[in-house]
Amino acid sequence: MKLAALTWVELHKLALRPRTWVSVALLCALPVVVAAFLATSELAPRPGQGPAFLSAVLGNGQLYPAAALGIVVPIFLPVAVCVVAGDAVAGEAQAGTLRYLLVRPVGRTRLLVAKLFAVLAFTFGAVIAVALVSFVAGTQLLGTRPDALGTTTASLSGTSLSPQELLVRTLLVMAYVSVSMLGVAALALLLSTLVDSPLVAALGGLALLVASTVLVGLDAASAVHDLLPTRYWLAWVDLFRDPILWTDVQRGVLVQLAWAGVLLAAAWASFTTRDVTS
Amino acid sequence: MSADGEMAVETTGLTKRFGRVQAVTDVDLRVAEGDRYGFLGPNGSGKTTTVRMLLGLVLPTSGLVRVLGGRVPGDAARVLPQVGAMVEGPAAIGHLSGRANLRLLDAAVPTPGGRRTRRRRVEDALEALGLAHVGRRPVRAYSLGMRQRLGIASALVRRPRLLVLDEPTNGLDPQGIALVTDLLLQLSAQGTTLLVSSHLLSEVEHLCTRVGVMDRGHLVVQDDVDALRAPTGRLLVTLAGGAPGAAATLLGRRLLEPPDGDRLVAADDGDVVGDLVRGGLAVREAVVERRTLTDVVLARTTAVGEGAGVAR
Amino acid sequence: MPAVPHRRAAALRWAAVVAGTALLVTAALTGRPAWSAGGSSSPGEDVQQVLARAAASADVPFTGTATSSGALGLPDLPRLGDVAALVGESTRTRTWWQSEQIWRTDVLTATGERGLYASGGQLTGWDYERDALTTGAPLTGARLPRASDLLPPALARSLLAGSTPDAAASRAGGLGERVVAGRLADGVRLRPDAQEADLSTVDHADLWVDRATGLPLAVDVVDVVGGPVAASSFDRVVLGDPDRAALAVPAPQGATVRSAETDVAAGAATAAPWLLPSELAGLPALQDPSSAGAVAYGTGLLRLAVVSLPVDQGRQALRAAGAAGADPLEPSAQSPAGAADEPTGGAETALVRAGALSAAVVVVPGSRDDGGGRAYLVSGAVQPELLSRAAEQLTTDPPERRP
Repeated sequence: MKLAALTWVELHKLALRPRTWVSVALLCALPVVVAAFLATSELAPRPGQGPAFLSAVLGNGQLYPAAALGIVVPIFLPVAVCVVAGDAVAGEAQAGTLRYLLVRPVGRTRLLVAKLFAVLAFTFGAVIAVALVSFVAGTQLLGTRPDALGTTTASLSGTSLSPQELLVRTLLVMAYVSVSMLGVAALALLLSTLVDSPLVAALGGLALLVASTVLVGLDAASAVHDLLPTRYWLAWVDLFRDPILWTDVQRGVLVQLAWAGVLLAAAWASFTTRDVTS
Repeated sequence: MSADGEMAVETTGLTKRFGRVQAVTDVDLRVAEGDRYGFLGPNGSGKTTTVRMLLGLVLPTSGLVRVLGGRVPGDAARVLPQVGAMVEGPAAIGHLSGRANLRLLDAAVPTPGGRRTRRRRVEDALEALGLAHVGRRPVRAYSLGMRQRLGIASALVRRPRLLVLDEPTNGLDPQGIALVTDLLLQLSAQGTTLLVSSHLLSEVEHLCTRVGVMDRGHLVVQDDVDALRAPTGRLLVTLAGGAPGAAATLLGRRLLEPPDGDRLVAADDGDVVGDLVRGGLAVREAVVERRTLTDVVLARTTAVGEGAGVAR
Repeated sequence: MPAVPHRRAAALRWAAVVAGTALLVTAALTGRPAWSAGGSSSPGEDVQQVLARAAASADVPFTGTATSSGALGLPDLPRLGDVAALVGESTRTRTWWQSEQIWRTDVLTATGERGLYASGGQLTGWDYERDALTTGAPLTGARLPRASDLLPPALARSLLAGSTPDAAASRAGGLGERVVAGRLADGVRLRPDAQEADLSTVDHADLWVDRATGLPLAVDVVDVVGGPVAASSFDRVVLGDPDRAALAVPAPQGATVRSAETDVAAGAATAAPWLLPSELAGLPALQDPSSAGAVAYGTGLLRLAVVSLPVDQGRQALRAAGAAGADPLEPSAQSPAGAADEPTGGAETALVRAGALSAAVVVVPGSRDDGGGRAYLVSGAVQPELLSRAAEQLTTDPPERRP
């Protein structure tokens, strides 16, 4: 009950903040720009070269939401999420409002949970916005395949997906992409409780992203590959195979939950026992 | 002495170390219910750290804190709703209006009483600080004084039993100072306990009934203002029309300093003025000498820079 | 000074967080313990039984994902299909296996998938990124390796094909048990026998065979310097009949449909006018030479693949290898003395070595009426000596024309 009220307040703060909308708009703009270029040039990346799906969406704009999420997943979405998560506590500390929240008194654990909910809401909201905008951009700019009359789409395995199946799979991709952000978001949130600079906290989350990406590409680090937060980020593609290949998606979710669990527990232990001197 | 009443703030052996820096050492603060307590001390004397410990922001290294009968931080959830505070200046979300800020802060921890009551209380607080008509202007566009008023209004929304204010008149114009001082006296009259830290000693002297003075982490003075300002035993006499020599003769050994023109300093035994008048001398003014708070603080604290490096 | 309760609480919180993290990391790193593995039955089978069951595992149905990798860097020749990638890189596959006649294997890539569907004696290929369906390839007969050949069961069976279980068991030792893909497996290490060991670059091959069903779950082939030649193992496997729906060949709308591109080996089988011998360099043929232009020869772990090439393609390959700095084959230790200045009986040869793999192009000049000569590609994880022997036999024993 008290948590609900606080979460409501945090969501309001997020929604009343112009920066939130600017970052969502920028996230949505990138897929629209890509769609515009694809539509005018009709030059898709060569097979195996560009982001997944981009060659297929030329003929079928209904696949574009998933392709657009694939475009923002590697860097733009995590950057936006890290900025919001890094700002969560450190931003309040920097502005001085943290002490007034805490003496109100907002319990520290409750504040942390409400902030986490706000970050999750931002992540999912951004994913929904990207999916909706790119659906419109895809169907308007790229059109639907004439011979299929927009009724079916091919899965990666060549089978046909009905519009309902396509919707379900796109929703699954949205959920998976959102969950994929948990690890870096949790680190940014942890750092946000440790430092009083939102920038430092956001950069810390991004540092994990970059480090993980480098290690995933390094064969010498194969022993830890399966534990890295970005290891299964691209597994959303598996949701478009037929039958769906759940293995990596499941592992990806588990890895994210493990990172989030550890980092959020550390954030809780640190935030509830530290001195607030900002 | 007001210490007989219920204690609003009581600390025992309160100590805080930040790493190797000893910020607060063994402080026993006593603020009784109904007190107007002035919390004084130079920069870096441990005032703010102590206030933060009272509010559960900083966790003590050792020692106990009791506020309004509950332990802090243990009972903070029960106790702090009855405390209004402004620590180290006001702070608000810059792109929102003052009203939106207060409403959001109030909604974060809803008190019983429903939405309308809570809005009413926000309006009352804004009204009390003269901010009711600022409208939708974002806090970013507020002057320093307006932000200060908003900070105080924010502390007042919950109608606290204990009000902890750090430099409440900082940045205010003379009208603002008068408004805030009057408001605080009025709140005190209604039973609110005040804990006000300030550099402006004259302001504290005017407002407070009791003071504590911090120096290098120690509480070096804690007493009623009246007791601190008890007569020094010296009487400052100004004669009307000269004749200091005659006065000196009349007073004899009671004259403490050589006369300076028509001004004399005498030991106050209660008969000085009578003796002078009976001796045929006209007395224009006779004042019982009291120490100012400034004297007390300066006498008991180290000047800035002399003290060891102490955290805020 | 009095104790401060919140400090004890803080220490407890941190202790709980650290302990929880340690537990989680340990669980993630150690994986599933042996006692939780599925499908275990009574232990104590001997090596011979394990190998016999592995060799007969072609009809054990399963569904699973596997990762295979090879360290054989092949030159990128045209019409080699995916072979270079298959034997040189890491490949992830997903397979539904009903029997040797009905199965599906998908090569999973980050941006698409290439599926192979076996049914009705035919093989259909699907390539998502090319949006193309390839139909009508024969399921059996001469061909280049394909992704399904590198599945642990297929790889294990091909390693066992050169000898009877008894013979294999005589050169094998038990490795104990291990959990592979959540199942309890018995390990067997195969080694070349003393005679083969001189000619092979393979030091040993480890097979891990499911104790309950005999399905090989992991295979590691290691060369004489300890490097990997090929490795394949299941990441996840479920025994039992696969999902029927998954086996259905897709019919994507709008995709290009073309008939199977004849890959080098299959093409050679129809184009080559010459029969390959039934025994080469002392090794028996593992397929019927009369039906194929590409034949694997071998015993034990020793394998030699021979492809009969059209002669002009052979000369092309020879020039390409020569330009890349390849040397001709040395005469074999068995060649008649005095023939050293004319190695391999007048044939032109080029030897390419890459890791454990050796390959040689052999072109035998001939007169116009026999098609201008003959050409062969001979390769295997063998020492060049064996290639020289094979080249000499191919050169000096004129083969019969195909009927």
